[in-house]
Amino acid sequence: MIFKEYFELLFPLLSITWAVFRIGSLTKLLEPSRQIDQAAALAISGLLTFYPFAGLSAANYLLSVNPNFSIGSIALIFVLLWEQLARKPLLSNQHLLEFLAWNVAVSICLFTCYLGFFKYDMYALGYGFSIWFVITAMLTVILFLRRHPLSYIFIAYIVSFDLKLLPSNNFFDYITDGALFFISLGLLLFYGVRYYKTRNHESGRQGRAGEKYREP
Amino acid sequence: MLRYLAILFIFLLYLFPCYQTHFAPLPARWENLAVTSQAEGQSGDNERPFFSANFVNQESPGIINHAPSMTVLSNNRIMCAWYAGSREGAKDVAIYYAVFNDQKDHWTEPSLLMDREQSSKELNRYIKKLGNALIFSDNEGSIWFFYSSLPFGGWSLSTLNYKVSIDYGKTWNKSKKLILSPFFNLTNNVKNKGINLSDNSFILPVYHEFIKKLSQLVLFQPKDTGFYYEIRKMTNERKAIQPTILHQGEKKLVAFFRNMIRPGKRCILMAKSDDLGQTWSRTTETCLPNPNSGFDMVKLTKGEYLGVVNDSFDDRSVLVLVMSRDEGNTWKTLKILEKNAGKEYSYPFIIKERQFYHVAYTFERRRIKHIAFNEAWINQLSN
Repeated sequence: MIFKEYFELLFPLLSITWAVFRIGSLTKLLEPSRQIDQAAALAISGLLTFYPFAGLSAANYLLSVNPNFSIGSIALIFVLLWEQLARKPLLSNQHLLEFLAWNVAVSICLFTCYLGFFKYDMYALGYGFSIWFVITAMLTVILFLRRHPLSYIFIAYIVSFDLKLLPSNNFFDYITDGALFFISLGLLLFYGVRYYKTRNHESGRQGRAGEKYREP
Repeated sequence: MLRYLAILFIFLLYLFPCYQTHFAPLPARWENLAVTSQAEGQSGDNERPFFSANFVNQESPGIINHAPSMTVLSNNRIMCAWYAGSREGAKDVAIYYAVFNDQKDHWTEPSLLMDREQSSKELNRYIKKLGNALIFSDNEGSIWFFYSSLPFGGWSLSTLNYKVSIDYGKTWNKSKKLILSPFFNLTNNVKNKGINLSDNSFILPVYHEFIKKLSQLVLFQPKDTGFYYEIRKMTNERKAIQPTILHQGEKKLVAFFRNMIRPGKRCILMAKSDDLGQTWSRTTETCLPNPNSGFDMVKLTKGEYLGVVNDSFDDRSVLVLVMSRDEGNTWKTLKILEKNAGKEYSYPFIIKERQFYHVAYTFERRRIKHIAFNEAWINQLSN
C-alpha cells in the first residue's frame, strides 16, 4: 500500500524532471552532458516535485488533475527523459511513432466506449480476464518474437497490473489515460507536421536541383 | 531456449489475471452474488397508523441546504448527511450530518462531516469544491460515506471519494479516491442508496455527466487486502441519471432514472436487469412525470414500490408519495407531501428502519425536512 502511494508519484517526478531538462536546454542554462548540471537539474526537479507549495506539492497538483497515470504514460515520459539525459534516443523514431499511434488508437476506442458513444462497455472488460487480455498477450508475444522494443512496455503493463502498482483495478488504466492520449496525439501531430514540412522542403530542393540540371 | 522460456513467462503473466478472475476465492465473481434477504419487517396489518414530520436542521440566513441522504445506525438511530453553503458549488460548501433517535424523537445539532480543506488534506489533492454526499450501511454495519469533489469546472467534472466508519460514525478512516473512469477519472456522482449483496458486497448506483449523461453501477466487494470495486454501464441511449434501484428477487433489479432529455413532457425512465446489474434493458418511460429532478424509491413488505417524486413536468414545487403494485408499470398518488408554487421541494431520500419509513428532502433549499411513517399509514392511504 505504501509502495503504491510512492509509485503514483513516479509520473509527476519524471515529467517535471523532463520539463526542467527541456527548459534548461532551450534556455542554454543547462548543459545536459555535464554531470554537475545533471545533478543540479535532478535536485531542482525533486524539489519542484515534492516541496509543498500552498500545502500541496506539484506532484499532488498533477495527481489532482489525473489521479491515475498509466504505465504507458510512465513509459513515454521515461523515453522522452532518457533522450534528454543520455543525449541519444531510447526508441527509434519509427518505434516511438508506433508507440504513440498505439496509445492514440487504444485511447480512442476506450474513451468513446466509456463516454457513451458506443453501447459496448469496453472498460468493464478490463476488471477481469477477458478477450482484451488475450489480444494484449498475443500482441506482446508477437512484438517479443520480432524483437520489437515495445514488447518491454507491453510486459510492463501486465507485470504492473499483476502487482497492482496503480490505484485502479482495471487493466485499461495500466495501458492508457487521458493525459497519455493528449500527449501522444500532440506528439503525433508535431511529428506529422515536421515530416510534412521536411518532405515539402526536400521535394522543393529536388525540384530546384532538377530545374538547375535542365537549365544548361 | 531462453526465448521460449520468455514467451512462457509472458503467458504466465497473463494467466495470473485469469486465475484471479475464475479461481481465486475473493473477490467473488459478480454472477455468483445475490441480493441478501432484506429484512422486510412486518406488513403493518396489525399496527396503528403512524406519521410524523420535523426538520433535521434550523434555517440559517444565506445558507442553502441540499441533497440529503440517510442510513440506519444502531439502536434505532438514523444518520442524515447533506451539503450546505452560501450557494450550490460555492467554495464554502461543506457536508454536515445529524443523528435522529426515534425514541427521543429529535435530531442532534448538525456537525461538520467534511469540508474542502479537510478533504484536500486527507486526499493530498487540490479540491475546488464539494458536492453530493451519500451514506450507506453495509451488511456488517460499516457506514460508507461517499462524496463528490471537483478539482476544477462544474458538476460534470466531479469525481467520487469515500470514507468508512466501523463505529457508527464516531470515527472515520481517511478519504480515498475511487478510480471509476479511464479519462482523467471523469466523472461520477452519487444521489441514491445502494443494495446489499451476499459476501458483504454491495452495489451502488452512480451517474456520469461529462459529454453524455448516463448511469453506471459500482460493485464493492471485500478482499484480503482492503476491498475491490468495479463499474458497469447501466444506460447509454438516453439522458438517464441518478438511478434508484429496487430488487425483484435475488438477481433481478429494476432501476428508475431522472430524465434529462430537453424540456417538455418528461417522464421518469425505467430499465431492468436479470443478472444483478451486469447488463440492463433499454430504458422505457413510466407514467410518472419528472421535471429533471432527483427522486427516490423503496420496496414495501408485500413487494409494492413506494416513491417520493416531484409530480410535475415543469418544476419542483410539488412533492408526492406514489405507489406501484405492478413493478413500476402503473402508479397511484398516495399523498401530497408539499405543494407551494414557486418553492422547491426536491432530492428526496427514503430508507426503511424496522417498521418505519423515513424520508428526508430539501425544503425550499433552506432546510432538510424529515418525515416518518409506517406501513399501516400507507395502507390507510392506499385503501
